Amino acid sequence: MRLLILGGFLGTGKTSVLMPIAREIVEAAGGGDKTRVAIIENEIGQVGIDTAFTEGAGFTTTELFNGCVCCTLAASLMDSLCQLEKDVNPEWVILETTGLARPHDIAESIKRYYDEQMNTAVCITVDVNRWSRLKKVVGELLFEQVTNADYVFLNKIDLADPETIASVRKDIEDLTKGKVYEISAVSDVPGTEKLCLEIVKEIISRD
Amino acid sequence: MDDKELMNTEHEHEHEEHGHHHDHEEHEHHHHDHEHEEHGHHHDHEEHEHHHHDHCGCEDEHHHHHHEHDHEHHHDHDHEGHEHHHDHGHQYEVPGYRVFETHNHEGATICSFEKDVNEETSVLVGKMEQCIKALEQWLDETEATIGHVKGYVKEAGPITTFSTVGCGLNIENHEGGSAAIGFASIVFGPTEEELKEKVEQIFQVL
Repeated sequence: MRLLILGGFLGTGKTSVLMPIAREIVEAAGGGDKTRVAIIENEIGQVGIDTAFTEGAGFTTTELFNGCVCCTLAASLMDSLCQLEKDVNPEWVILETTGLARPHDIAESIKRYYDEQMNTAVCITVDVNRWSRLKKVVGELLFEQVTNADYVFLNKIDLADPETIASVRKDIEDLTKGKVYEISAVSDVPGTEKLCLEIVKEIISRD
Repeated sequence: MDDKELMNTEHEHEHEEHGHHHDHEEHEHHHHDHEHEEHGHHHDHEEHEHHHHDHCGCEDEHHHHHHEHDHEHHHDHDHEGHEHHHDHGHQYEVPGYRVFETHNHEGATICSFEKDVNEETSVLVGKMEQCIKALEQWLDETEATIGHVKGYVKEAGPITTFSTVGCGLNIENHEGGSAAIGFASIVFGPTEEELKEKVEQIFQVL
């Protein structure tokens, strides 16, 4: 079982990125079999909103609400992974974290729990239009989310000017050694699905 | 079930008689190793003992406290390198709502609710749009930072039920009932009380 942790601050487009990644995983495996992918949706509120999207897409979805899997619901995450392994045994689990989570902490916990045996990658989404404003309010959290990421998606580039994108890219590249991509997950900007497939293949190659 | 009974079932830790006068400052941690037999993983268990002594600061009599820590499962997680700031949640009994809660996490104030509404979806979608815009405006006026404000309207379609007691199958068609609304706001600035009051005020039109 491989784990892709999909993190990033609130409203940066995690759910929008999740679906093309899930589709490309299925596609990379020859298409058709959605049981290869299971999704864990973690939401900070007691009422989940994002599962309304994922459940309709045919993927097994586990809900963890009213807390954060990097701290208050850490135990529940381990239980959910064990349960998915037992019931569905998917090749991949995609964990969409809350926007307040610190995905590196989750990855470290997973590595310890599975004795480094689970192929785990961290992908972070960044809203290029809000980055400068938010880093003044929640900079420490944003920086930590990005620093240890394997992949960073600079999202919503269709709504940003080239100078803003370049400035955010520089900030991100100063923070992380992970690969940085520019995308727009919900518009017609081409290439998002291709990038997702590239990432999926790269994670598989780590097995 | 009254307030006290509910809290006694939800919490495995000490409470004062009325339950909502406490904080989470004192945590005692006991560590011991444990082997997860089924999957053969090795990890630490953490048990948290919570002692609540102080007033939590809330004046609302019509809510219950819900603690975020999982008291049933104890797997390892660490808090190295930074501190997580999370507060116990408040669940309110607001007429017409299935769920109405607030809590704090990492400096953010969270308010979410779920309710059923008997109204045409098109009307409901319009009202929801206006409510969220009104909340956005209030947050802007109070110089709050919006993390994410989101929601959904889920239409309930017609339902066909099947029933038998051994002498013929009874099939009944029912009109679509109420629509379900879900809402969550994660913001920086307002207190739980301020956000709860504003959300309740704005969304009362639904």
